[in-house]
Amino acid sequence: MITTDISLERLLFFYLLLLVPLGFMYYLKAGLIRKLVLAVFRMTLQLFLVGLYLGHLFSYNSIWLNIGWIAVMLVVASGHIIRSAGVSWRILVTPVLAALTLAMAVVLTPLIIYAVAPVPLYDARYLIPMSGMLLGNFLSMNIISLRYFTSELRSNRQYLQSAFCSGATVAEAVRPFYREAFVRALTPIITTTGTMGLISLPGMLTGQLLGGSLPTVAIKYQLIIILAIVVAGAISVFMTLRFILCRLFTVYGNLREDIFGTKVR
Amino acid sequence: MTDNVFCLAGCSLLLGGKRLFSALNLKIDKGDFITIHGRSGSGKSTLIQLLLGFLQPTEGRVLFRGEEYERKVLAQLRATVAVVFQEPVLLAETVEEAILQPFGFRCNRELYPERSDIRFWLEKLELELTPDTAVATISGGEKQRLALVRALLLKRDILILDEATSALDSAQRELVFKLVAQLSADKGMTVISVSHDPSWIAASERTFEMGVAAVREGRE
Repeated sequence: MITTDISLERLLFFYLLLLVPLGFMYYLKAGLIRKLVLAVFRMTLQLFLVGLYLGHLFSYNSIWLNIGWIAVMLVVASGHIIRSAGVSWRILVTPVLAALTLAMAVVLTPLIIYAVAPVPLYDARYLIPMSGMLLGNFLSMNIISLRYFTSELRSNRQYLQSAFCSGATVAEAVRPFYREAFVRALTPIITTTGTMGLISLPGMLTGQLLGGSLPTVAIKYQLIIILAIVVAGAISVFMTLRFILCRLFTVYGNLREDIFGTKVR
Repeated sequence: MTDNVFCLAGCSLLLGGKRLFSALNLKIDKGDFITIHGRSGSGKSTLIQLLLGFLQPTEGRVLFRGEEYERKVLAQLRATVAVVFQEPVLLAETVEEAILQPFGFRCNRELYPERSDIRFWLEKLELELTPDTAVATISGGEKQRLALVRALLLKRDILILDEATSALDSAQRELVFKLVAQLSADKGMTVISVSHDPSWIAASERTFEMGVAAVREGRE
């Protein structure tokens, strides 16, 4: 089965529907009009370019090109997480990038090699979309956890001092905020997982169905990708918070003020 | 081993462009009970931050048991002190959780208190709280005394009270004073307190007035 194409005119017509939310924003003076227009513009441009790039990526199907593309996605994701959390890129990029790479490697390896096993294993049609889905999902989880964690540390300095003066290590002193940041990051995906199929048909399933796959096959892919998102998300959040710890405090146990380098978006 | 616990020699501190103190000298020995006082903004709590190693002097030296502050010395210091701040942040649901929190840290696990010990100190400080009492429902004065119970259960050699009795009435303050004075006299505990309370200051064995930089000794 071949997927029905969408003509350019029909696609453009669909853009007109944006006038509805823009109208609400104008009426409420919500200050979101510029943001939405810019976001849609960026999305259109990025997806158009990615579409072109993916075409080449699929036709070359080179292992190094695919790995390079995943590396670029990891760097961009790390930067986005750090900027969105309003913390210093310079200080935290290495630990965040390391945590995301670790999470990706731990989950993507069995997912590709054992569960899906495409031929060849580095087939861009499988590797690239699956990596993208994983990254896209743990992006929001890490933004939530990093933003919460750093802001709570900042507003609980006295608690931290008190803990350090009771002999706590850095890991012990930050544990209440670590735990809560982890819970907050994982709660949405756990909730989504519990209601999947009942109130939502997720992207992977929809994509497979539109691409002509049998529902039974589409469901298996969906199950595997959700499990991968939960596992990779948990690893990335846990390890990001763990890896950044060594950068957050001075040798004297003070929270470094220069980690709050950029404005929260 | 030296009997000297803390030594500040010629310490000056500039914070945010403001000179909080200069050429400050202070020695605190094992078993001392010293009260730091002075007008608001004179740097009393800042001095405590300096002693605890959270701040470093712009000039001069701070020593703990004769050694400069570096990672190892800081770890030793922070395993030797118990600190009660003016507004303790307890981050716990119940009184029991609040009290037991520091005993979850590896270096304190062997000190895990018996329920009878907890009851003893709660009664000693006239706290009518049960282990299940919600922390959210207790007053500021009760929080200060609860933090003091926790500090005492740690059985440290040095107790630092940074305006830790500010929310107590005079009878409760006297109770706390007598208790820590007794611990200092009987068990050789070094007590460093910051207080505005004239009767506390008057009864202290040693006082140190910020801004005046003179230690008055020998009063009981």
